[in-house]
Amino acid sequence: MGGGPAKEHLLILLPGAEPKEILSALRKRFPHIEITYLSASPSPSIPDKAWNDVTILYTLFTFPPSLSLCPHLRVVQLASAGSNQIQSHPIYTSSDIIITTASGIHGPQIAEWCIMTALVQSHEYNKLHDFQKEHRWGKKEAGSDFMHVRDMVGRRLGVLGYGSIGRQVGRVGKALGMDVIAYTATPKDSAEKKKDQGFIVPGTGDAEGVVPSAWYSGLDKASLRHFLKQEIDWLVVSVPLTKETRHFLSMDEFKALSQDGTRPVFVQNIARGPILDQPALIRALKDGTVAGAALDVTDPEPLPEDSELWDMENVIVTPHVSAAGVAYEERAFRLFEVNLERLGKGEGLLNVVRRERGY
Amino acid sequence: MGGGPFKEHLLCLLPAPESKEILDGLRKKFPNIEITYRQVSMTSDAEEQIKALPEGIWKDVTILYTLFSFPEKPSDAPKLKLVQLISAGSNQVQKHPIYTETNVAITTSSGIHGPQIAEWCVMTALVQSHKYNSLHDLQKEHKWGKSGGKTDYHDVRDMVGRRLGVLGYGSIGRQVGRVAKAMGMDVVAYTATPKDTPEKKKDRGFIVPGTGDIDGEVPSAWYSGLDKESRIHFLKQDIDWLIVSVPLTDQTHHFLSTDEFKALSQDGKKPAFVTNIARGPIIDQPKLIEALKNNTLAGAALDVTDPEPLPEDSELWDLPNVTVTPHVSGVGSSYTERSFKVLEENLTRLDKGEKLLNEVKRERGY
Repeated sequence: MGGGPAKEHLLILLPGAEPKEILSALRKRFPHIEITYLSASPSPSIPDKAWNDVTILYTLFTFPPSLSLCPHLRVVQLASAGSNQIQSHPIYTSSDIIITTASGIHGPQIAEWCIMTALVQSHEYNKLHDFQKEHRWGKKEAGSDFMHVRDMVGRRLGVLGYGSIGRQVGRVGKALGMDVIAYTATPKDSAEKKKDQGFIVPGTGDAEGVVPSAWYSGLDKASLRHFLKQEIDWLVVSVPLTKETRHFLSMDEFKALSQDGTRPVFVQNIARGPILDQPALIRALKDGTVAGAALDVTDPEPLPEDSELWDMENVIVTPHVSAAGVAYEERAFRLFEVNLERLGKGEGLLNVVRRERGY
Repeated sequence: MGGGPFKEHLLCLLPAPESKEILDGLRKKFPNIEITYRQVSMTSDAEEQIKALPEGIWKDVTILYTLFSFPEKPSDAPKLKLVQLISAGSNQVQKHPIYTETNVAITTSSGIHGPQIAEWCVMTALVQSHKYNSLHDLQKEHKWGKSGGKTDYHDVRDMVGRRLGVLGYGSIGRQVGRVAKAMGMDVVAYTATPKDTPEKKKDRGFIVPGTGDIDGEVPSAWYSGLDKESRIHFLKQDIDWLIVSVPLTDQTHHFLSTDEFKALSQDGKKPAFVTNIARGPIIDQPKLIEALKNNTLAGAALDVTDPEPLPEDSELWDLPNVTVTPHVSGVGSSYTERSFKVLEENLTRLDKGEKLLNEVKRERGY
């Protein structure tokens, strides 16, 4: 096999069934890449030899046992938005191997989960569902029971972490008639900086950053609390988990958010459980500092059976499913394809993890 | 009370307690209008309550603001010139002599319901597509999904690239369309008459600020026609999710039956999801149940049924992919405030002799 571009060796290690169609399309599109697929579950037994030639690894949570086994590895593409799962591995701690994430593919599905759970709360769906199970046409004066339901028009959505997921929640929030305000780690004080340069699922997101009416930033407590005090009705937590964002929200922050419980606020977490100080959240929910919550992520996961969160009437807990769906795999591969293209051309990749900031 | 007599006399007969704030605001804005407010109950004693009103109250009334409380005979209210309804629909007045025997202007509160009802539509669609009921059951059992990672949820499909069909692109339909578009959907609209110019695509009614589709830009395609052929043509447009938001009229009674469900679902090959927030009888309900049971349709969300209340033994209650709620989607805390805004707008227009907002055209029934 003489001439042509240097041969790349791509190893794909994913749980679940082999994505045959996707793989054959990939092989067709990138004939100079030798592509090996191995199943990552239940417990992968990957021969050392499989690691030796690898130049590109596409994986979720399966990594080489040691760096020395994969001397040619140059890119690790994760199938997740977060990169926490690799951050204690020597690939992350002791090498310069480029690590990229699948940030950008999760927006639509997770945003739907956010909208759904917010509306389930505000429209009292659980009660309606109970009526349905009892074959009951509400109370006699059904109108009066739900008279206090309030729609989202004119209410404020605060997006803590205006990344790809946050932008999609913002987009839908705006369509619902809400005012949206955004928070980012560093200031987005120019039109350029407000843009989303990453992967965007067509027809979604906020590429230009025009949805928010105001922007806030800063990883220090003062900046965070300043944002939280902006009369937010609904807070979506969509920051990455880093050492700065661990326990980002605790009792002081919940108090700032709700002005000491005088304003009802609904908090959603679709990022990582430890971003919220969970015992503090529970206290805040019990004493009315926070009016309600929807959590797709908890600390730890699985959420222990005896956690008080399960039974709280104003809390929705789901088992880290908000991103799971039929489009996930396809979109992750599409993003990966963009990166393979760019790699081939020597261009900068999408979603490169910056080790100095942790995401 | 010095000064001239009031120019108008507004009687409010509503199933809600008087809001002093709103009424004071109105009185301030319209010092020439005498305003009387009476709360009526939502029950069937409504007629009794009409009879219980002070004798002669009707004879000076020029404007009536109500849900279902009308003067027994038009001659009881000889000065009546405007009936402003707080509902979007006007079915409740259409058999009354005020409607059938007079030309008294009747206006509705169409336009105030969009946001709240659209939220209900989106909520119930997502509840089904994201399997919320199972998630809720798991939560009640304190169960963190199935063990071993891959659960039932990997076949959840989001709305990106899917098609929303809005049967009745009025104010409620436009708001559902707006939100659906934000979710990445393609939206196709259906109206009674063709909207074949940019002008016709516009919404000239009351729009809650920050919502709706005032210029009619959301749909990628428009369809129209009250005849069956036109309707079937629309329904065949590869629609994944159909919203029923037409008014109930003679033409739309049983608008959707077996043939329509088949067309919608490409003969069962692409089962669609149907949402009804308009009026129960628009759908031929027994045929809906059949279509749901034989998987012609993927599921349904119904806030309105035929009849209401839905009888306890209806099969709809227990069908797995069906959500039934007791006609609450439009009910909420903003309702009163927004409805009064429509009234306010019409009081101003009446005073200036301008065309009223949301006037019912008797010849078309809405």
